Amino acid sequence: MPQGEIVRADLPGRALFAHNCAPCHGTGRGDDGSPMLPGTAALAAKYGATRPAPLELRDDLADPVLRLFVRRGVGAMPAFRPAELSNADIEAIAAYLRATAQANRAANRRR
Amino acid sequence: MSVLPPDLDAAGFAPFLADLRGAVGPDWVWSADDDLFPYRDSFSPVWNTGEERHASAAVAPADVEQVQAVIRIARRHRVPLHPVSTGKNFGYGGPSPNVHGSAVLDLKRMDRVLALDGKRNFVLVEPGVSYFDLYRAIQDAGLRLMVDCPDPGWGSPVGNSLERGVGYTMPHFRDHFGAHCGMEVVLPDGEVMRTGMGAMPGADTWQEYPYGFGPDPAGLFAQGNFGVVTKMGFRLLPLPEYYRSCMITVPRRRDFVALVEHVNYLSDSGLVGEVEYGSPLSVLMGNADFLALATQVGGPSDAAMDAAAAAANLHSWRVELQFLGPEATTLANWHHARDRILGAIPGAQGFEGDHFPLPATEAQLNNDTQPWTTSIKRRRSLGVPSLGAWKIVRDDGHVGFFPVLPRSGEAVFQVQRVLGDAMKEFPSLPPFFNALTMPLFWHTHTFQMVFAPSIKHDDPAHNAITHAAMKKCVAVAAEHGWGDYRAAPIYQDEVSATYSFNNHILRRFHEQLKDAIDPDGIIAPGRGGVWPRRFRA
Repeated sequence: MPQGEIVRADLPGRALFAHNCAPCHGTGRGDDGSPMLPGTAALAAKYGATRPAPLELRDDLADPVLRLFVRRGVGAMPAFRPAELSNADIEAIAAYLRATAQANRAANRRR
Repeated sequence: MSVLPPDLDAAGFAPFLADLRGAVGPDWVWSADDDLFPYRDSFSPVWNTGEERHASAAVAPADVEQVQAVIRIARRHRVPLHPVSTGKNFGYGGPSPNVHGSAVLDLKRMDRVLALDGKRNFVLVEPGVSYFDLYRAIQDAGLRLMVDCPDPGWGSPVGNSLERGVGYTMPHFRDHFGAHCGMEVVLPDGEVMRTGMGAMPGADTWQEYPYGFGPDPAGLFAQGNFGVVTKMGFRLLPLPEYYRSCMITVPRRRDFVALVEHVNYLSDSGLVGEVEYGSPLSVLMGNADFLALATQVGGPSDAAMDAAAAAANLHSWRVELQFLGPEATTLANWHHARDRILGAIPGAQGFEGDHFPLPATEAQLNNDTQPWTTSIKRRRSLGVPSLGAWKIVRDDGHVGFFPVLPRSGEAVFQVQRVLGDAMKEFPSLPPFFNALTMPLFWHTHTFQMVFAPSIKHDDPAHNAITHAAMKKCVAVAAEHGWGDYRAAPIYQDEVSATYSFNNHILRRFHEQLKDAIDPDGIIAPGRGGVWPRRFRA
């Protein structure tokens, strides 16, 4: 999905996501001919049609779940140190993802 | 509290942590296993083995004064500190320390861009500033400056340059340590020192003249353990007006020798940016007969490779050239390169690729209009930080061995043969070294080649093969004078031992310095293979 088609919730987690997560998990094109960024491509391969690949369309990543992935990493995704992302930051990102996913689901229903 | 610092019991560790909390605040000291998990090297081939080295704690100071306080506390308690800046350092040990039980000194919170000059073209940054941060700061300031960034944009100019990392633009910027100018260091006794013109009060040239007067110790802090770098200046490339990409192919295997010599001339004359060597024959590697030829013991003959190329109607080698500068200059430089090489190598051909004014558009950055299958990574070539390169990561990560090689075609052929044969001991690994393995022209005046076998967290047998292959690569390469340029802590002693001229005098000199200023090994003991008296004993 092109970057511009996402409706983004205006919450503090938006900037944190853009800064820390979107370079890998964003909705833009990947580098040098790749259709998706690496994190988004990895989730597309992992979940197929069962879950959206872009994190901003996922409303099932509650704070404890997100914290688990951020603090421990998975596959090629590294763990992030508390000096990089605090627990409060992760909580804010979780709230942003949930609100953004819900807003986009509502917008899609209206289309 | 499952890991303790060396020579310290739990009763002694608690007051150390309490002192740290008093210095930086309770929110910025961690010692619980869950909090320390991200300080493990998740790309480690010794993951979950007895060889893995864990931190006992992590502490994140907010400023130079807190760094001084942390160092003095560590000195008092005799706890080794392992400084990290930001980014991941994957393939080279991540944030894991040389000494099991060290406390990681995490400098991520020190993330200010302190000076950014678009007229004199430099920047002064703290260790927590990432390439993404620096790029944004330049954009926000509306300056026409280019960052020379490594593949993952989460890295930091300070950390990457101190590890002697590389980028992908013009020759005088790709060597990131070579492009630094001026640093501030907190020494093992807690004193703050500035190098170069930073040592002169009132000087406004800290980021313009690196030496000052007298000996310049800046090199001791790269891959070293003589202090904690808290500020660092870098020269920046004025944003070029134009980008141009072209390609030259040559027909015969032996033509590579002359091709390299011409490209050396172009690069050393400042006429071309980073180049990407490749082989059109790589499309044949899926053919079992050709694969056997390209990986045969002792290497294939030139005649056999030339016959295979002729049968496939392909040239043997290619080089993609990238030009940065005014439009007319890039065109003239391309014409010069083309005429020079095509005039000297019979059968060579030249091709023109994408070219456009800078800054590039998003579509140009996406790099899908090149009229051939390109090896150029467009964003990194144009100094735009990205994580797009992360798509190369397989399994749970990899380790990296990048030997420093002579910049000649003959050396490339020799490495292909020698390391290709040596790695046949590990048939489950991909044939990193074969008759088509290309040199990387990342560092400005040398070649490197890549060996990067993967690791898997749930497959210790696979990791053991990777670990053994890494050690063998280091040893066999050194027998031929090819030294690793950067290594994870678990390999640093072995790599350091290969730089052994005159009974290891270089290491012994470093040990003398270390003993003089940090005998208890408070700053990263063992880093770069340099151990203080306390740990040598």
